[in-house]
Amino acid sequence: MSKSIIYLLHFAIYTLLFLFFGKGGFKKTNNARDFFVANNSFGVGQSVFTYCATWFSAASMQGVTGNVYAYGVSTILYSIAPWLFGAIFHIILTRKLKDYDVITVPEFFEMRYNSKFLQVSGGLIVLITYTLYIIIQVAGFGIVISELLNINYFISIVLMYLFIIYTTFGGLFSVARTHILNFSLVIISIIASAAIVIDSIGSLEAIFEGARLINTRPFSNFPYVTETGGLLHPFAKGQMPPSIIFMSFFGWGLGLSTNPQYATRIISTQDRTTAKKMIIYSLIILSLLYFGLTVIGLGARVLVSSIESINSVDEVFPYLINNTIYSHLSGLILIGICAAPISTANSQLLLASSGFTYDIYKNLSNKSIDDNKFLNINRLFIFVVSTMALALSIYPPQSLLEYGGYLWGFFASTFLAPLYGGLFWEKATKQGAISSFVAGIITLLVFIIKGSKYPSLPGVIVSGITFYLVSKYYHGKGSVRDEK
Amino acid sequence: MRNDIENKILIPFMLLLILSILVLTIISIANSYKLILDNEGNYSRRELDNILVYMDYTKDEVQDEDEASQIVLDYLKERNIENFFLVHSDEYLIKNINIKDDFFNSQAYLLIYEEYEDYDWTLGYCLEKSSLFYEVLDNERYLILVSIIVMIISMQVTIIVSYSISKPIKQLAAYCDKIIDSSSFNEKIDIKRIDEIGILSDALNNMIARLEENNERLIEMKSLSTIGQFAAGIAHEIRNPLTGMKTSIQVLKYRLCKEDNSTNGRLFDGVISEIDRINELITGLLDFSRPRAPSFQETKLLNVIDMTLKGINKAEEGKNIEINLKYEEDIIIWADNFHIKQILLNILNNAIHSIESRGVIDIIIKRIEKDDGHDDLVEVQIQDNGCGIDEKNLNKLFTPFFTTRKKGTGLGLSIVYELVKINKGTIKINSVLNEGTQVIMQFPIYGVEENEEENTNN
Repeated sequence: MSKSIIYLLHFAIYTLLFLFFGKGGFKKTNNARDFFVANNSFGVGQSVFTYCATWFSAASMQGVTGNVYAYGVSTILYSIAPWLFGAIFHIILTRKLKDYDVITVPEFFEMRYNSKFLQVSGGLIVLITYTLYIIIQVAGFGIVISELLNINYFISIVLMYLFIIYTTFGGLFSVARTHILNFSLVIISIIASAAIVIDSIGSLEAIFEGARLINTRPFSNFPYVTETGGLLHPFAKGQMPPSIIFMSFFGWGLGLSTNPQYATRIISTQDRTTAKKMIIYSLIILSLLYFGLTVIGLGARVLVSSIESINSVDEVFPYLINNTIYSHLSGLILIGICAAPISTANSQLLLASSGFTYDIYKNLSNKSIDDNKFLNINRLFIFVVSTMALALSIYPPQSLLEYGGYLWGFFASTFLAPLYGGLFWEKATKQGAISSFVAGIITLLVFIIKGSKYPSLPGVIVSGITFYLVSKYYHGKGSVRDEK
Repeated sequence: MRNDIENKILIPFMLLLILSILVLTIISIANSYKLILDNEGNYSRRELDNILVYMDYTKDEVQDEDEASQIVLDYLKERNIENFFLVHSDEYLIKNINIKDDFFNSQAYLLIYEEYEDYDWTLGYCLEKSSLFYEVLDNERYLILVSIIVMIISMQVTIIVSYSISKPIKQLAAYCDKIIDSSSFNEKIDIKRIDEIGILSDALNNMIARLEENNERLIEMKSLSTIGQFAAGIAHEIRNPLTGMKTSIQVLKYRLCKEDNSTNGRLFDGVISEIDRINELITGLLDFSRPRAPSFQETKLLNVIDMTLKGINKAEEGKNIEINLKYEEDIIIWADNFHIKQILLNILNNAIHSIESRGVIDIIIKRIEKDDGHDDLVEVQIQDNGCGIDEKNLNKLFTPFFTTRKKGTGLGLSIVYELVKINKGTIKINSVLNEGTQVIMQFPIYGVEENEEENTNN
């Protein structure tokens, strides 16, 4: 039997499980709070699954493995460490954010600063950023699945489209239930892959020993040839200089710390203690999984020091399970690779919907809209946005894929100062928040247009300084804090 | 798994769908497999026949048998035909197959072969059937994909449909709970649908509205009944001193007012008139609160009407009222004679009061035929062309103490209602403001066995 048919049969079984897990949210959802934050009902177990599943996208599953394959352990400093660093902020965020009892982060801006403008602008950032990110996820999923299942690319993106619509229609209850399935598959997939890789090479020590000796070009269009020992060097022997790692802390780390998809997870927990436990347990699990991905990446390089048939780091993991370590478990591992982007994309689609319906539409037009009507508008919007994302994914704009990596920078440059400043600085003012939001986004756009590789850094700095100075000025003038 | 509507619809539907898809897929794969097996068999057969023709031809052309067989062998080796084999004395001369040697006896292979006795050759084609099956499976991938897509869409649609059924039912249940908790009928359920659930919700709203109306009426009746009993209790106590007061005032008038038209005389008359009015009210109260049990008897309706008409003052305050009695026969009813008189008196008095100066009152008596042909009821209609009754007051007419007249007690029609009821009759009032009023009563006819039996038992 051909590999693609084996994968397809695995995929069919996964679909059945997915459908089973995803049902049930529809009937439990009665209002916006149910739909977006599951009526703040999640206990530790459910929260950990949904937090981790939202976190673990294709960027982790394929990105980290591929980068470790190409750059070695410096990937830990370049991406894993900034992510985990950003997550530490979530612990700080927990207590204060739960106190405000909001449904979305932009709603917090409205409550804290009494500014509809900030809520609407925040909703707009959430809407645009996540919609663009969903396109990237759908396109990425489509490429991998169409190659592995040997099916048409369009059919594979339609599958992704149906998966995310199916769960998002049921709100966070449905999304979180599928997260249990998806993240379980991700864990199984990583453990299985790591075990096969270690078994193929002999031991962990053998992997590190083998990696130390690698001195090839990972794939044909990769710009660098790995120096001997470079894979185990913290800065990849110059390929990943400390400056890049420092910059990525601003892009990835601070972006993640303000990313509303995690704030929503905090809000959806039962209480503060649950939220804190959720973050701590999640970070432990994620660290272990990243260790597994590092082992897979390094092991793959030891097993096959150069892959001629691929063009990007994202293709390393699929190539590995389909060729180098192909086994009876490959189908299961492939499903894990599929599950990661699906579980992130449905979370983001739900947030994109909240950005429009809750922060923009309801906020501006109709505060007292009927619950059923509001939920129907959300579902209609989800359908429209995901269909739009599907259409754009057929021929994904090149510029979007190019600048996709900057998307988290939008959150860092616009949300960071008003969010953390508003929560922890008494003197923060509405004027400071609005001006920092505007200054942050303008700086970010200017640096992106100028072609800067790291536009988040100036964005965050300008936003932070503006927030501090303007707030101090207006607070000094006796401006009354608009906190409700 | 909860046994709710969603699951009751979803699970059987999805099982059926999955089963259908599976059956469809299996049939499709089986057909394709059979087709490809036949094709491969036919193709191999043709190829083999061609080779045999070539062998015969070579044998005819080349006289030396060894040379001829060598030419054929070289030719076949050169062609390197897929899945082909050639065996000579248990030894493979050509083996383009990667299978076990015992394939001759296995069902797992598609085997087409011939024995060429001249050379002692066995040659043919052999294919592993499973490889053909996987090839079919590979070609059916889009069927599997379409099945997956259909499953997702069907599941989503089923969830939405079952949700649209269960959601309003839950709303209705929550609404009922709310009514139970708050004991208030003020809220209405707002489900705008045109299907059975919409009908149910409308019916529920109507039922609640009726319940609310009846509840209010019940509360009102209860309070009025209490008031009536209380008033009747007091009435007894008032009536005796009132009689004494009236007698004393009449004596005083006799002693003090020798002239009929003196001012004091008119004052005494006024007081006596008011005492009469109080008496009338008390009588009404007593009749209403404790009406005498009916003494059922043969009651000639025309006699009672005649007696009643004699008793009423139709020339009251100089009114010109014409009373017409219309009947086809004298009907005897089974009722209390005095009660019927009282009923007619009260209704006729009301009719006279409703007419300002000139008017007509029609009394119509007729038999009512039932669907089964029996006429066991008589209908008495009393209609006037007086001032009529405002529509908003129609449902309060039988409420005690409700009156639109300045000097009315509000007990007349309440008493009528009670008396009609205890005489096993029914009463209905139709009225149009400024046009007139029609009172329709029905009573059991004497001579219909069930009537007497029923009423006697009661």
